[in-house]
Amino acid sequence: MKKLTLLLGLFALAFLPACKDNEEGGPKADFTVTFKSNFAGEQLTKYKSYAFGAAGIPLQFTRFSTYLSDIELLKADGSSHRLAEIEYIDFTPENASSDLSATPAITYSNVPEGEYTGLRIGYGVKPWLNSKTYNDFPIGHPLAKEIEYWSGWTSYIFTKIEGKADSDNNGTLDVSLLYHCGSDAVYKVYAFDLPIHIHTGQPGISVNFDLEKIFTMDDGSFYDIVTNFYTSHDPNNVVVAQVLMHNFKKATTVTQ
Amino acid sequence: MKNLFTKISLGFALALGVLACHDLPTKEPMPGDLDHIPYDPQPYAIMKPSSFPNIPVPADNPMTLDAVQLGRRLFYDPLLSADSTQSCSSCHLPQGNFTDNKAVSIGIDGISGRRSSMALLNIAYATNGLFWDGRSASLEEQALRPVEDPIEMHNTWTQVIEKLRVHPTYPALFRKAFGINDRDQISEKLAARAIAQFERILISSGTSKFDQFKEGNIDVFDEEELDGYLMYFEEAWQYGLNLPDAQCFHCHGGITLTGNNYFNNGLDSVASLDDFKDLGRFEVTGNHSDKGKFRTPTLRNIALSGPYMHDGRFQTLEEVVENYSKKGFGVSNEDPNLPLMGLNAPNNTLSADHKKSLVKFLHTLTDTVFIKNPDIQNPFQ
Ligand code: HEC
Ligand code: HEC
Repeated sequence: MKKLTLLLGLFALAFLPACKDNEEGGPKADFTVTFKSNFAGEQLTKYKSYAFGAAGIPLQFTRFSTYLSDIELLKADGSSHRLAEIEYIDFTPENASSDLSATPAITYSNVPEGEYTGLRIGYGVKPWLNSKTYNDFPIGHPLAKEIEYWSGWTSYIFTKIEGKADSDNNGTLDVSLLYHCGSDAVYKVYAFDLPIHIHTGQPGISVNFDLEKIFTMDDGSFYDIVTNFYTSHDPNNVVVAQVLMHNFKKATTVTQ
Repeated sequence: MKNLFTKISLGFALALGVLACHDLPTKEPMPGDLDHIPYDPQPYAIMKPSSFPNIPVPADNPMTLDAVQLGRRLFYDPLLSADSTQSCSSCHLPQGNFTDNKAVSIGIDGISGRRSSMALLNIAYATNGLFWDGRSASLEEQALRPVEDPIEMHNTWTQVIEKLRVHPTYPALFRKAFGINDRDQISEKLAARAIAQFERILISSGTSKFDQFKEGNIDVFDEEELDGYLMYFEEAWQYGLNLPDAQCFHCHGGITLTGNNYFNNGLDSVASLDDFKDLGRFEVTGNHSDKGKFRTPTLRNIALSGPYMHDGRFQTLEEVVENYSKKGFGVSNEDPNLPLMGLNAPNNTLSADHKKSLVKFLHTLTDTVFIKNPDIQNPFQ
């Protein structure tokens, strides 16, 4: 009996931090995050020709999907509230009835109401989850997708951006663009400062990704997509993936 | 005690009597006429290679030994077609990797369908729509269709159910599978559930040469098979080899080599997307750019399931690979992977040797243990 009490005590102790977490007192609200994809500020449309770069070459997209890890609301005191550990966001789902990109909206419940100072997002699959494979997750889990895993790299494909470009502007889409970024080396975490008010009835936030900016360098010049039209299959060569995952920061805007 | 025993025996005898009566075809089933048959569902654990993903099973159709057996019988039973000549297995035979090895399937009235039968190997993993165009959401829903399809079994479920209810063996099998109380409760829904359960056990054995290689037995591949593998999965860098990319794994990826996504994989040179003879995925989504897209089928056991593509246009794997090596026709919705076929080869083009190696690799996906598995054969033979 004594032993049992001890065990129970230990048990309770083990759960103490968890209890504290749950006691994040005060009212809770549902909070919706809407993910959007754009090109130069315009809602992304598959197969639509956009003018890209200084020469304005025609550029089309056929696929855009991405994994996001540890989506967290930040507070002024340095603490945070995690909305999701992992999400798979597919802007070009195959059951869509038009080419207009999808705007997946995910509602998180029981989010403590209050004032937050920003949002933090991990781009890709964070390393400890990326060390697993689709076999490790139950059906329906975002990481149970066999086709999003790359066995050669032992990594999930963090983001897929596919399309075509007309490099010499002569009416023929002569360049295939195939960007599949993956591996721990290119996982990025970026934070965005903005006031986020969470109260029942208040609107949620939008997280927008602008593909033009993913192909824009820090100095404002455009990425040479004609030369670097695909991500290498050699995991020791993540040069292109590094550029794109780096550019994701300026390609992201968060608004409420 | 003795009394109880007598009572039980009496009840049993009575029950048997009732069963005996109903063994004869009759149109007037009695409520509760199956209650005496024990209903004791035992879970069915689907065998799968450990490297394979977990198998999705819908919560409302849990796998049981008796339901799988019932499904197997229904799958192989020509009773389902209007003139009792055709069963599911007429177009989905084990030796053809559960296809009929015809370019397009032919229904009971001798009318040719417009599409080729599809392999059912690893069909449990097809969670992104069934059929070449994805028009069916689940195996349970899919199984309802062939029976009433005028160019397949051309029957009605009402007729099938009539036949099943008066059948000498099916009512008891439905009772054992689903615990129904009387034969009136036999329904197309239950029949479809049973067929779906049988289809879910059609899983690779994990013994193909490819599987052995993946388990670390790298010597099973000869040099050409290895080259084919490395081009297919683009892993030549792992061996310090310089081989071109064949892009196959982008679409037929993962361990099941399925992918389940919809693509235009460069089969037809059309002036406009409207010119595709078969509009494929468009028929489901209504989205113009989906015209001519089809679902990526599994390549496991592909050597056994020709002819190839939705319309069976290619007789051999050599023809398939030859077509891919042409990199498409520049049709607007062709997948961007296609023009990159042969990337890093001289002229970025697959050579004759490369193509030969790819075909040899495709043959390493053959899984004869699966097609000979006694649990999936015709129970009537
Ligand atoms: C006359 C030949 C024929 C018969 C009989 C037939 N099928 Fe098929 N089956 C086909 C064809 C052809 C397709 C592809 C049709 C399409 O995509 O439009 C197909 C597709 C399927 C698929 C989809 C596979 C995938 O990968 O998406 C399943 C499952 C299936 N059949 C199961 C059955 C079952 C169960 C029965 C019996 C109830 C049956 N079939 C009877 C010819 C047949
Ligand atoms: C862009 C995606 C894509 C790529 C890349 C691709 N496939 Fe396919 N594959 C498909 C689709 C989609 C189909 C079904 C097309 C149809 O029937 O209209 C298919 C069908 C096939 C079939 C016929 C399957 C059957 O059951 O009839 C074979 C064999 C095949 N592919 C082999 C390959 C090989 C080998 C490679 C690499 C050289 C490859 N594929 C690359 C998408 C792709």
